[in-house]
Amino acid sequence: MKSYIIKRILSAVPLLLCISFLCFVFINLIPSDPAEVALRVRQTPIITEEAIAEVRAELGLDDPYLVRYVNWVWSCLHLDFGVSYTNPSRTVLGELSRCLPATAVLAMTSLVFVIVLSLPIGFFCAVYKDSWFDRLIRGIVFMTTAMPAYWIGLLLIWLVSIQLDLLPTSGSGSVKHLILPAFTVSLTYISTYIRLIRNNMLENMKEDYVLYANVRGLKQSNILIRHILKNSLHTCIVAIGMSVPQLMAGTIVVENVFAWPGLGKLCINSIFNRDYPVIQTYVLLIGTLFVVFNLLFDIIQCIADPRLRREVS
Amino acid sequence: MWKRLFQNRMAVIMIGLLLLIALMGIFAPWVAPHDPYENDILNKFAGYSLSYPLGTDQLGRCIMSRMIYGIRPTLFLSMMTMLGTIGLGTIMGLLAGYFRGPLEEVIMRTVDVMMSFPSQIMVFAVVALLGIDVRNVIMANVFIKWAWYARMIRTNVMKYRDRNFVLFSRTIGSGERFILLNHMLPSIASEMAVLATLDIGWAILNISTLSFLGLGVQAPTPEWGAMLNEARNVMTTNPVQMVAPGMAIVVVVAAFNMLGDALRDALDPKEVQI
Amino acid sequence: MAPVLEVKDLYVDFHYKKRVQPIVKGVSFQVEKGKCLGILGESGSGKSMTAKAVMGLLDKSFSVKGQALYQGQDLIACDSEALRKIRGKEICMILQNPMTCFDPLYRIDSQMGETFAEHARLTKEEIHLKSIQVLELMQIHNPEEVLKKYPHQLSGGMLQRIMIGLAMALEPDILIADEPTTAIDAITQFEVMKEFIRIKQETKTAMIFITHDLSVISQISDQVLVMNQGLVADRGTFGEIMDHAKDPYTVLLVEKKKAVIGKYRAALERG
Repeated sequence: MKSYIIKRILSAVPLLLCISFLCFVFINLIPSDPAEVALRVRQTPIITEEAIAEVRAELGLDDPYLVRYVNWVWSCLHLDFGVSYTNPSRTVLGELSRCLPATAVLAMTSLVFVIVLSLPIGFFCAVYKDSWFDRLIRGIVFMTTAMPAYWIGLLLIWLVSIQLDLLPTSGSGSVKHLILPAFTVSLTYISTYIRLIRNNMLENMKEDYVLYANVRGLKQSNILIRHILKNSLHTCIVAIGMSVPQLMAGTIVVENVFAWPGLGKLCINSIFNRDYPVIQTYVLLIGTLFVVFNLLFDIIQCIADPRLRREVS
Repeated sequence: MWKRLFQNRMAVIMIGLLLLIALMGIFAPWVAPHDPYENDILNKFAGYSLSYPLGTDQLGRCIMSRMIYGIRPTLFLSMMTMLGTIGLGTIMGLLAGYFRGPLEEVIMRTVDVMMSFPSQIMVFAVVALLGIDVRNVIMANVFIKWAWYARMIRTNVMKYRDRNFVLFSRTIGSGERFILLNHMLPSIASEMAVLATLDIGWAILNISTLSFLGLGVQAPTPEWGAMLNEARNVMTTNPVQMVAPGMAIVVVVAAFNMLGDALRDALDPKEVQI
Repeated sequence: MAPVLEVKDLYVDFHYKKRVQPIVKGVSFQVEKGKCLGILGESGSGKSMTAKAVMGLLDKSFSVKGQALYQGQDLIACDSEALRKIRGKEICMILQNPMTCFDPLYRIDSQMGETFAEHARLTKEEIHLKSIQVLELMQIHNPEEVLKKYPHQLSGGMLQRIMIGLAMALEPDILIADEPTTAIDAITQFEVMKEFIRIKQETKTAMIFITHDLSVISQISDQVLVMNQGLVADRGTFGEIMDHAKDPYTVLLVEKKKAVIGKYRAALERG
């Protein structure tokens, strides 16, 4: 098993390199000269050749490609992601750290909603397969996958905040503000996980050990929970683990709808303002999160599976 | 294969529905009651009437007409996206499958990287990079999804390549390749049809999300996502405006999803009726 | 002597997408205390289905008709909860693929323990002792170690023996063995058959032995039931079946087996 872990970690490294390279290339693919863009964004009144040259030197744009890449990776590892184009007084790291907690809170709350709702619902859908409950849920799940997240958010705002006046419409600051956005984000993922758990459980129900458990006369509830559910969750570990980075990334639209001051809002504003370093670092951050979480949960699944645990007997 | 498809009632209904919607979009100038760009501020937020079946929006434009005209960017853009995705994916898959060795390695590693990346973020990143333009939206979507098709095509190519390896060495011209395609095509076609229908739904959602955020189709072009953005601003005064475009998106995406599911059931080789 | 289990006119149908496929078409047999009934047949003859139908292990897509009288109750008419209590304690079954029959995520002691806990009121220590006893009875060395292992760490033969031990542990009235030797190698097969014969001699448990292997049946059964396509083709003792089979299917089966044994013997003599 140790060899598996080491191999897995090693395979993640080239992936991270690829992602970082893509992010780096990103900034250099923009049609206009980054130096010029930086100047324009800073609203320099007159853009002269000297000004451009100055900015080019400042941003280190004249060095050869590979050198720039290595420099960039090096500074990234030191958590120095450069300065924002829009507001040179602020570092990219500063901007991201400012907005990260809000997104993290939103993502975590959504995760709680997702787990609390999808686990029991998926479980009972599998147990009572093809019952009215199962069919109703599958119908709802189907409809929610076709609904754009922002539309759900808008409808919820209208229904809950405006009509029923139960919760605030937007902004952040209290738990009340958190509920609607978290629920909206979770709705988009709940359907995926309900399906996942339901299908996993149905697959496991056909396994031999379930037949044998029945042969031994074990109680249904015992078989369902101790054996089938545990095995199903086991196969889902990676999927559930990946939900964290996915939720972090998936908050973009919802943050926009609910004016939640998180990374998503920052990202959208940066796109409008052409603040490339921020966008680049954001993509790098999310990409890295994905790779790291994937790696982490692959390893966790390996450790949790007794079959993979003892390779050396 | 086609016979099984047409025996599946759901598939037929969905295809019919989608064709109807597509036709409405194509013949929009004749089907829509009004010009979608025509402002009439005095008439804003009008209720349902015979001349304005869905009322008017904040600028007095006929919502019904905007909805019908809105079919065009939605379907057209997603079709373009699919064509691009399938095209690029097929080329990459064929290259990787035919010519093994370093080229295949490079392509497949790229596929792995693309597949492990969160698609939402990539779309935003590409749009951010290339600027806010409809064509860039298409390119962004293609950039994300080509990997899935490339992998699928490569697997199929490898299957047939190995099978016909001996014959391959006796090939003198494109004759063998033509036969290869004749065998490969049916098996690819069914998998691809399923992937494509499910992806069109995804593409439509993506395009409308970008338009909603102001990063895609720009106002005043009627597009359902953009219409929802406008509706959001007048939520308190005219909440009804939010309903129609959202419902339209749901209906079209759900239709494509249902078609995809029906296709998967119909084309599944294990489901052969005795 | 009254039979422990009496099955009358058993019919099992499979319902699939508005079509009905008959699997078992009217099977009757009896099993007596201390005796072994062998059910012989090829795959698809319905022999496993018969056993599963009697034990109530078939799901909703199967319909079961007929009677299975055990201790005055009709098992087929019984409700599922009553059947569940009987399963594992009074009527036990051994399955074909021991490698996949144990939950891969739990150790052997936990899986044995939960069976005991379900059917008997024992403390944890008593359960542990009983598990050790069972393993020792099945000639498994180092029972303490084996109990701590996961199923994938043990061989098929060992798992099969654990299964048999677990089935016999609660002293059932009937033991049903569904192709217990099919999935294991010849040497282990020999060991496992020794266990079955020992069980038959030492206890009064009635046995139903389901297999497609004539030689296995010959070692253990008192009565043989030959099944073909859901029907009983022949019945009698092993000798009667071998020499005076009535049904053309049985005749074919016996001939083929004799031919194989003949060739085997000829090869041995040559070598």
